[in-house]
Amino acid sequence: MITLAKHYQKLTFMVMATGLTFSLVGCGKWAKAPEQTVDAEPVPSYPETSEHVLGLQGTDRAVGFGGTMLIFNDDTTPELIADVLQASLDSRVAWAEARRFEVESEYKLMYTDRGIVPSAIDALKKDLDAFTQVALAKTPIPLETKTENAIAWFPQELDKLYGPEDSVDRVAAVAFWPYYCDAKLFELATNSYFAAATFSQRPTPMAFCEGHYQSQGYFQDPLCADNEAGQNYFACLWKDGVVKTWWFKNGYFAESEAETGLKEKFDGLLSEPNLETFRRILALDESAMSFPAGGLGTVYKRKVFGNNPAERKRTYFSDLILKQNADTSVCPKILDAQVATLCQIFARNETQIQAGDVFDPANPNFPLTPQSTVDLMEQKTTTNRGFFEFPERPGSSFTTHDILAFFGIRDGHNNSESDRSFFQIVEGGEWKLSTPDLNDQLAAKADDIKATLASTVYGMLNEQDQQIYNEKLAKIQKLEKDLASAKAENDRLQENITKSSDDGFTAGNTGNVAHAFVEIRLKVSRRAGVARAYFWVKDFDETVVLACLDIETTKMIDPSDCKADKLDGVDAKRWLPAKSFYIDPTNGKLELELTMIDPVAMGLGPKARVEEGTPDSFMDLAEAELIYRELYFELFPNKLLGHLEIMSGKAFIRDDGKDLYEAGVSVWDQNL
Amino acid sequence: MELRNYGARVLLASSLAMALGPTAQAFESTKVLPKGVRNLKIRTLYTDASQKTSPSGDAEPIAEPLWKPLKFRNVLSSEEGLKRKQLEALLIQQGWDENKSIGDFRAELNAQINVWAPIFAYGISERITLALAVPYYNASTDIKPGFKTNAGAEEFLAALTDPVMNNTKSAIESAEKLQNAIQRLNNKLVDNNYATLDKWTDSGIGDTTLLMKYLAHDGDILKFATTLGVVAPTGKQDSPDILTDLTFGDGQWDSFAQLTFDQVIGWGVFFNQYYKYTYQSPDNKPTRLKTYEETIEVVKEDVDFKLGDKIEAGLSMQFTQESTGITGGLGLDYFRKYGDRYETDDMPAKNELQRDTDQDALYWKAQLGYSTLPAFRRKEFGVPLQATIEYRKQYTSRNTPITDFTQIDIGLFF
Repeated sequence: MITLAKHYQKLTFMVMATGLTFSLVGCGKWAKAPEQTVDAEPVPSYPETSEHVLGLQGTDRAVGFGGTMLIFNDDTTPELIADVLQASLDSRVAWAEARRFEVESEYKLMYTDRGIVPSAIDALKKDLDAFTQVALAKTPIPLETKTENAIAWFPQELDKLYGPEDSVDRVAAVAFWPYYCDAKLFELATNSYFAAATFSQRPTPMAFCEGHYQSQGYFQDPLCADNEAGQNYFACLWKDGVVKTWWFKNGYFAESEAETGLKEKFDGLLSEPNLETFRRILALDESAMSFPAGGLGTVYKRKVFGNNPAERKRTYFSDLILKQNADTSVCPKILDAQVATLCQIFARNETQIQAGDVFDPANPNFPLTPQSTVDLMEQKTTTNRGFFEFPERPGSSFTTHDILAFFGIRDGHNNSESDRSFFQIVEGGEWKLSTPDLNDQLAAKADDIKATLASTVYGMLNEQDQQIYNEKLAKIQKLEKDLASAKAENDRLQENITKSSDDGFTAGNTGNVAHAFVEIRLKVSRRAGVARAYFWVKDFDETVVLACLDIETTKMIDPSDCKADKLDGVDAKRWLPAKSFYIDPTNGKLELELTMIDPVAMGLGPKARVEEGTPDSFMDLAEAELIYRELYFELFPNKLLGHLEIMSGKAFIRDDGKDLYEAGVSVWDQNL
Repeated sequence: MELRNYGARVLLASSLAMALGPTAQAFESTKVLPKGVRNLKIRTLYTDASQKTSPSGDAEPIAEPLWKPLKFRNVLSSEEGLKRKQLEALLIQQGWDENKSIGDFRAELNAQINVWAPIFAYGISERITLALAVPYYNASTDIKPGFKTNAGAEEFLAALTDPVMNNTKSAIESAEKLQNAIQRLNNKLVDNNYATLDKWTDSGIGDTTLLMKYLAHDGDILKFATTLGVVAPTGKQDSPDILTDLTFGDGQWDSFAQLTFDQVIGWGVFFNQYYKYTYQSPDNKPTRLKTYEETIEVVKEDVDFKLGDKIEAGLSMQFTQESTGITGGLGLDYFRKYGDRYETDDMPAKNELQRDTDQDALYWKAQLGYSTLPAFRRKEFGVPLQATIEYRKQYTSRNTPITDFTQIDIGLFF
C-alpha cells in the first residue's frame, strides 16, 4: 500500500511538472496585435467639365485663352516660386471676379457708354426737362423777372455772406466780381457753339452778371438788340462786350499797344468782313482757315478738326484766348491773317500767382487770365484758391462757389445752367441746350442749390408736379447711382486685373525664378465634331500651331486633314502642325505637343529682360536650347466663380522624350 | 509624397527580454548544495507584453514610439529638385509650417516570450556552490500599423482642388499616397534595408550565466551568503534592421555581486533579503543612428556603448513545511537600471539612443511549490525533486515593459 502511494506521488509529480513546463514553453509563439485601420481622406475627383469648352459637350463654340508660361529655373528658391504662385492665383481671381461682375451685371449691355442705363438716364433727363418746362409754364416767371431776380442775386448773396455793413472782405468780393463777369463774357464769346448759333435775344454770358454788364454799359449797341427772327450775337459780344472788359481796357492793349500796334490789328479783326471770318474761325468752320498743302498741313488740320465733327478740338481757339497760351506749334502755321492776328494778340504767358498772394482790390494789376478767373470762382480746380474765396454760407450745405459752379460751369463748350435757363435760342446748330452734367460732389448738392434758386430762376412747381418731379428725379438719381456704382466696381476690378498682372510680371522677372516668362495664347474650339487647338505666342500670331481632334473617337486628325475653321477667328500666315493632341473625355485634360521648328518665328526666341521700368515677358534660353525640341502641354480645365473658364497645368520642353525644362502654365478665357 | 520617419524603433523589446533572463530573480535564499550534490533545475518562464511605462510612469502601448504624426517636413524629405521646391512654395503660399501635421501613424505591438533555462548547480564544498545557466528563448512579436489623416490633410487636398489652384491631379496623387501610407512605409523600410513591419518569430540561446555562491554565515537564526558571477554574451542580439525584434542577449560581458540574508523565524518560516549589483561592460555593436525626427533614413555604424548598470534588491517571507514538502513565499522585488551611453559625435542620434533608457520597477511576487526532499530524507520518495510555480506582477515602473510573468522551476538533486 505504501509502495503504491509512493508510485502515485512520483507519477503525479512528474505529470504535473511536465505539463506545466511544456504548456509554458508553447505559449510564446502566437503573439497577436489588434488590427489597425487606415483612415485617409477620400481621393478627390476632377471638377465637372460639362460647361467647359474642353468638356466637348453642348453647342459648338470657341474659347480664346490667354495667359503665361513660366519656364522654371531649377536653381531658384521656394520663396520666389511662392511669389509667382501667389501672383498667378491673384491674377486668376482678379479676372474671374471681373468676368463674374461683367456677366452677372450684364455690364456691356447695361453700363457702357451706349448701354441701356446711360441711354435711359439721358432719356429720363430729357423727359424731366420737358416735364419741368411744362410744369413751370403753369406758373411762369417771365424772362424779364428772372433777369431782375438774377441781377438781385449777387447783392443778396453778399448780404447773406457778409451782412449789410461794409467790411474789408465784402469790399474785396464786390471788387472781384467784375473780373469774373468779364471772364464769363470772354468764355461765351469764344464758345464755338455760340459763334454758330442764333438767338432771339442777346444771350447773357452769366445771368448773375447782368447787373455788372448793365452798370458798365455793355451790350448797348444796336447789334445787341432783340431780334424775333433770330440773329447771331457774336459781333455784339465782341464789339460791345469783350472790348470793354478789364483785359482789353487795362490788360492786353495797355501793355502792348504802344509797341506792337496790336489794338489796331484787333480793331481790324473786329471790322467786317474780317469779323465774319473771325466768327467762322471760332465757330470751327473749316472753310474759314487755310492750311499748308499736304504734309504738315494735314497734321495741323487734323489737330484742330480731327476726322469728323465730333472730334473737333472745340477748346483750341478758346484756350488760345482764355488761357493766353496759344499752341504756337500749330497756330502760326495756319495761313490766314486773322488767325495770325489771334496768335499775336493772345499768345502770352499768364502772370504766376505766388503762394500766399491774396487779391488786393487796390492793386490795379489783376494777375489772372479769364480762364483762371472763371476756374477760381467756379472752383474747377484748387489752383489759386487762396487768392480769393467766399466765406462759408451760414446755415447752408453748399458754398457760394458751389452756386456759381452749378449755375455757371460750361463743361467744354457745352451750355451752363444759366445758358439753359436764359438763352432764347432760335437755331442752335449742334448746340442742344440741356441740363449740364455735374461732378458727383456737385450733383449731391444740386437739389439744395436748385431749391435756393427756385424763386429766383426756376419758379415753383405746384404740389402735384413737385411730387412727380421728385419721383422722376429719384428715378434718375437711382440710375445714376447704379451707373456710378457699376462703373466704380468695374474700374476697381479692372485695376485689380492690371495690378495682379503687374505683380505677375514682377514676380516672374524676379531673381532666378525662371528661364523664361512668355505670354501665350491657346484657342480651343469644337465645331461639327472636331475639336481644334490653336497655339501661338502673344504678338506672334502670324505663326500658329494647329491641331485637330475627332471628338467622337478622341483621336488626333492627321495634320494634312486639319484646317483652321474661319469661325474660330484665328488668321495666321504660317500654320505649323502639332505633334500630338488629345483631350481626355473624362476630365477634360488637354495634351498638346508641338515641335519648335522655328522658335524665333513662334515668338520663343531670345528676348532680353527689361532692366528698368515695367517688367515684361522675356526668354533667356538660347534658340539652340529650343529648336527642334518638343514643347508639351498638360492642362486641366476648371471654371472660376461660375463664369471664367481656365486651364492650368504644366509644360515641358523635351528632347527625345526626356524632360529638360518644366514650366508652369496658366491661361484663362480672355475673349480672344 | 513619401511616408518617412515612421517613428522610433521598438527597442524596449530588448529590456523586455533581458528582464526575463534566467538571472531574473526568483525567490532567493542563502541555501547552498551540500558538497558533491548536484542539482539540475529547469526554469520555464512565460510572459507577454503590449504595454510599457513612460518616463513619468504612466502605462502606454509598447508601440507608442511608432505613434508619430506625418508632417509636411516628412513629405518634403521624400521629394527632391524642382518638385520639392514647388511643394515648399505651396507651403509658403498657404502659410503652412513644415511641422504642420497631415496625419497620424499608430500601431499596436504584442510580444510573447518563452524562456526555457536549464540551470546546473554543483556543491563543491559544504558552503560553496557553482551554477551555470544557459537559457533558451522562443519569442514572437506582432505589429499592426494604422494611419489616419487629419484636418491638415483635408486642408492640403482642399487647397489643391480649389478651382483657383486647379491642381486636382496632384490632389489625387497625394490622396492615393495617403491611402497607401502603410505600404509606402514598408517600401521605404525595405529601401533602407529594414525588414517590413510584420510578424516576427525567433528562438535561440540567451546570455550564459556562471556564478559562485558562498554561504558565509550559517547561524541558527541568521544566515548570510555572497554570490559572484559573470554573464557571457552568448545570446543573439536584436538586429538593427528589424524594428520589432527582441534581443536574447545584450551583447557584452556583465559581472555581478550579490548579498543574501536569511533570518529564521521558526516553524519553517524565514525572512529573506538580497542586494545585487550588475556591472555591464562597454562594447561595440552595429547601430542605426536614429534621431527623434528620423528613424528610417539613417546610417548604420559600429558604435561604442555602455549599458547602464543594474541594481536589484528584494524582500520575501518563505516557508517550507517539512511534513508535506509544500513550499511557498510572498515578496517584493526592486529593479533599477541606469541610463545607457552611446559614443557618437552625432548628437541628435546620441540623444535618441540614450533617451528613456533609465529604468526602474517594483514587483510583488508569490510562489507555491512542492519538494520531495523531506519525503526523500524520510525514505518515502525515491527521487529528490523540487517544483515551484511563481507569479510576479509589476506594481510600478518607469521606462519598463509591463511584464507580469509566470515561472515554473523543476529541479532534480542527484
